[in-house]
Amino acid sequence: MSTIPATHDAAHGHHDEGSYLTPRGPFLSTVVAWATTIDHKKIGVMYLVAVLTMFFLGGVAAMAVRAELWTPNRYVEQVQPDGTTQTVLQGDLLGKLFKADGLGAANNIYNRVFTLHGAIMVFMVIVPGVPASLGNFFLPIMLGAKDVAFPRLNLLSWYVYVTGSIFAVLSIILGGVDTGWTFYTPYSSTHAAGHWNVVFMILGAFILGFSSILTGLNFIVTTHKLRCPGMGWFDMPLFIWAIYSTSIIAVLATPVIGITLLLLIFERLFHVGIFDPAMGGDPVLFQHFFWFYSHPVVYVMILPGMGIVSELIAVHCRKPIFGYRAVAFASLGIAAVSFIVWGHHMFASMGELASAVFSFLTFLVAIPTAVKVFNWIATLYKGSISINTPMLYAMAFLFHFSIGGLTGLPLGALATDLHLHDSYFVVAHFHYVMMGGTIIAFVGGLHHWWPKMFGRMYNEKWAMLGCALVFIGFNVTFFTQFFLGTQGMPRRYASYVDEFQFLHQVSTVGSWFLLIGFLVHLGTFIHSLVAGPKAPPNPWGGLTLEWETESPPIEHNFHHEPILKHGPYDYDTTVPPHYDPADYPLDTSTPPHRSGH
Amino acid sequence: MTAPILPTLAQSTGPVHDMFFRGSAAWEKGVATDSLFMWVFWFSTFWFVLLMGLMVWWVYKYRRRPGVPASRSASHNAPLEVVWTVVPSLFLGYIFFRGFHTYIDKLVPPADSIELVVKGMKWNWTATYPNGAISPETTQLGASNVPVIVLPAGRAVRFKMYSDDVIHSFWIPDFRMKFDVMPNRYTSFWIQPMQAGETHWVFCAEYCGDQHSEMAAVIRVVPEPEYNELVGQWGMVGGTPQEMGERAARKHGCFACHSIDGTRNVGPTWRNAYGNPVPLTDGSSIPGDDRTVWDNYIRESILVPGAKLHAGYPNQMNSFQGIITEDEILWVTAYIRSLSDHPLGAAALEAEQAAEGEGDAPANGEGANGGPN
Amino acid sequence: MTSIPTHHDHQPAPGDPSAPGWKRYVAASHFRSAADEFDACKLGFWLFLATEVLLFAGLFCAYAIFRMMYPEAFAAGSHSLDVRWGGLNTVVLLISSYTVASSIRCAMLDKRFWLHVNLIITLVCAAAFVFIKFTFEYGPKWAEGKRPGVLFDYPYWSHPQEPIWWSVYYCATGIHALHVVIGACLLAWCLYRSVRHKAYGPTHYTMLENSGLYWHLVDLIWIFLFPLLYLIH
Repeated sequence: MSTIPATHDAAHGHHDEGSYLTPRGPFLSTVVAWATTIDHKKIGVMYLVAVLTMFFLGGVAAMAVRAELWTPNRYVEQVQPDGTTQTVLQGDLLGKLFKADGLGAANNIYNRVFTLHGAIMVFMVIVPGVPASLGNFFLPIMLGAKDVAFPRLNLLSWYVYVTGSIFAVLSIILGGVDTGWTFYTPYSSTHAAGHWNVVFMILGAFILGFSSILTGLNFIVTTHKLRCPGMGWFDMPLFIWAIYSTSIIAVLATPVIGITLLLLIFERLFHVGIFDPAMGGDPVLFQHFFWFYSHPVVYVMILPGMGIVSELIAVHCRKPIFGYRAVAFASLGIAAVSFIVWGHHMFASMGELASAVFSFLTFLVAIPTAVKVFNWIATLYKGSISINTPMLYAMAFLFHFSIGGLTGLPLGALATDLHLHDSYFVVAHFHYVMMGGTIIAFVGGLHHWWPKMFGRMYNEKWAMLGCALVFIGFNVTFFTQFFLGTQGMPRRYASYVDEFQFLHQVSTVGSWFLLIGFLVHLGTFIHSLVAGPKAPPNPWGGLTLEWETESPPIEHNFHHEPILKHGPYDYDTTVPPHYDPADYPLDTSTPPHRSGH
Repeated sequence: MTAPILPTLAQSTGPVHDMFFRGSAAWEKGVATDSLFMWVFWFSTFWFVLLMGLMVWWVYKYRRRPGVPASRSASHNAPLEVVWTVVPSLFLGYIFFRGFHTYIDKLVPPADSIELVVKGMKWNWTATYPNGAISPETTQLGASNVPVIVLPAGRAVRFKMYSDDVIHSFWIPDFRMKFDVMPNRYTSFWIQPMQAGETHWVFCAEYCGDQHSEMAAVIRVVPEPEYNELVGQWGMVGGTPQEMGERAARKHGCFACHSIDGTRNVGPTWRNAYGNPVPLTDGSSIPGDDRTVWDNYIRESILVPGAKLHAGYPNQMNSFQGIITEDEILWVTAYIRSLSDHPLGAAALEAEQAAEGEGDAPANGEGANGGPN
Repeated sequence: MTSIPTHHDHQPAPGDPSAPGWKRYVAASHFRSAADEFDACKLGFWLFLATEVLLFAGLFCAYAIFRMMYPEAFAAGSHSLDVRWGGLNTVVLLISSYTVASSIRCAMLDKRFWLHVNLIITLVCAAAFVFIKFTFEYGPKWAEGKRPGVLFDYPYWSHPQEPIWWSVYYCATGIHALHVVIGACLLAWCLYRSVRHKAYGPTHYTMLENSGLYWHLVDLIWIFLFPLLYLIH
């Protein structure tokens, strides 16, 4: 039961229009064509390359952080070759590497490295990552559109992103910053070393904000105006709902960080005093401004991951997402509540009343989040579940996200937060959400859509091995950090008391597994691009519109404007496009009924 | 004291608790915190095992077999969805309530607590005792020599904290308690060490620059008589904080406008002010009975006189920002406190100091006398 | 959005190539109709305006907090501003808002001459605003030493937190003045395209309308800034 009229089917001719990847001329003009393209698919791929490059840089910093924490910094008596004893510093791996002079300088190197890791991963990888790469590529196709609403603006966003990243990299080349990615005043405004480094890093984050705003605005308008005929709001795939909610948050929250970072730059350059207590300013005001943006942005980071997981589970289980509407509204609900919980980052510096209100609101945001997890798990029931890399990643996401969400409870409860605040418990918690959630979903989504994006299959066995290594490595690295946090290890420490060394070493060993896992994935992807078998248009049997076009998609996405004939997850009643009905039996034991949308 | 102090481990409280914590908390509010944490832990474990169990079981049971379709099942179920929304919400409400309850307990000190002024600076802690003494003890912790703060067992201790530069955070993991230390106002919390002989780490938990990870201290709990003797010995040369405060007030000309006998002058009188509510020009008021509120009110009134105006007194005062030192503000506050009959005022101040023997005794050591406790 | 109206540059022009630009305009191919494209551009631009409002909301928030903390510093600082120059600038912006609205109306009615006259008046007003701001407000204040933060160097200050007031004043009005300049550039670009290509007419005036909306926003923000900064008692 194909839903597309036969004349519209790509399998029946129209092969004259090449894929978007086909070079249109000699090498140089192809490069120019890519650099000036307004095709959302090419821009998506360009974003993917840029984001993965920054992910690599941030990952190197993360490995350096874990390596430094293998041993604490200690002064020890050492017998010199000439027989005298001398007190020397040991355990400062990064300090030795960069020839730092003394404990303070060695710690400073560590502080720069963890700031580098945080700033890159947050501002350049996780926030733009999924929406700008996979979102850019698939949002218009899943809506059945030829492009995003404002294609030139889309290209501009990419260049703005690259410009912002260049400022950040420039700041790193000049020696880096040691403010932490949160830029807390008055440390960042008057105390942190490296005057211009700090200005460049903040400027980079400020410019990246523009990129977020432009992309978000583009996606909102595209979702409103460019849905194909027949597609109502509740016929949209959940990935679109997630990207749509994300875009709303990005558009509404980013201007506030814009003005905050602008004021911080003024503060740094001209000492205007707004955040400087020495001049009557208020450093906590900065924290309020910062978290008014940065908390909603936590959901900018996680919602696209949730959207991907909804797709992965539905497609690889051949089941409609259980409670589609609940999941869609949960996305919007999370987006709305996310704007009023920023204060829970300041329980250790606010008054009792404000803390109580923010704590209560924080528990509110837990509810739609929990509902989503229940719905995903319920979707598995009576499915036809293929166990492959995307599905494994979806399961890993559920595993990590459940831990990340549940460990949010003692952080949201005031009494326990006063102990856990700014400890390794927080570090572990947000890595479980941001990395175990978003990055894991990103990698899963990349495997899911890889055949569509590049027209090549990847090696399933190696990808599953990579997935297993990432899963093990991630949990070894970060689960230990919960124990470190409750036992008293503060975050952002270059050194620690002896009692914490064992757990730190376990965590560091885990990071090596994580690294190997990602390298396996890199190898698998490169192998796929070079020698992977050609991908069919619909390798997984998906029902959303991207599977109706070819792999890789043609320049204008579809040969003819698609007309929606079925919901995104109507697996009970629909044979997917390009799929042999013999391989795809439908359950006819009970009469078909209209599902929830 | 130069020999390293080894951290003590409190008694074990069960294998799961010991995975997370280094023994039981060192005071009852910490124990209450742990109990909430463990409640949340078991609650979370239940849901996690249930969800992950279902996930793994179903993925195995319904794994794809060629030619076998997914069997049809409901795509939504309103009653079920309502139940799994409402039931967790009730539990979350319970966690919120318990968290809030214990939090208030941890922040509001009993009236008879001893007050230590904690100053954070890059990258060290200084704790000043009620009589103005500062502990001379230090110990080696990690790569650094850190101060040792001696506290009496069984007495409630309130920390009044401020920072000289950036934001720090005073974390005592064994007491499950921390609070940020601000450069522009006082923050506070309290603890009650229970067991003499214990030592506890103090860490800075808010990133503050190069030596953030070296900014530590050690709390050493001693029996109250020993505490009184030690702090009496270390007593500040020059007088009690309130005597220093009177001198500072004279030096800065405060008495030109503020009386100390209750008569009305250009500014509000200092007699019986501390601890009582203050009506303000804008109709609101400074609540009484709260030391942090009052300490901040005095500090702000010295540095930014116009911020909160006492009703009936138009602002005639110049700011003393950059003129008065942080130490002098603390002394003047102690002096104003000593002029008040409010329960938090002179009586409480003298009780704190009396326990430490002759508060103003020079450091001859012999004059100090442990209290009857 | 700024990118859209130029689409026709590389679109095949239907009909007479000598016809005015607005008649030759063809919507971008991924839209179903020109009306769809217009709606999309309007929606996108309103979202953009929302981000601008939120940007200034941050500034207003900082203003409110510091005014609560240091009411006297704010009163003292505000008194040293000349309400007449502020008032004149308010009038100038109100006039320009009227003329920019008229210019869009003229485009709808295909009155190109009056469209240009209105746009020119708007641009003159914009220039007047910036001129007044710099010559009669920033210039003298700066020379007296009434500057933001550590640059503050006014010997007769009456309140130690006055530098904070000047920081808020310069940040708020400076960022607003930057928006005036950006808005004027957008309108100047519209004027150029209208004169050169006859780009705007009854069926196509997206760019002009959006630039006008932007200008109204700039005006609106000043309507809030003026009493907050100049009229504190």
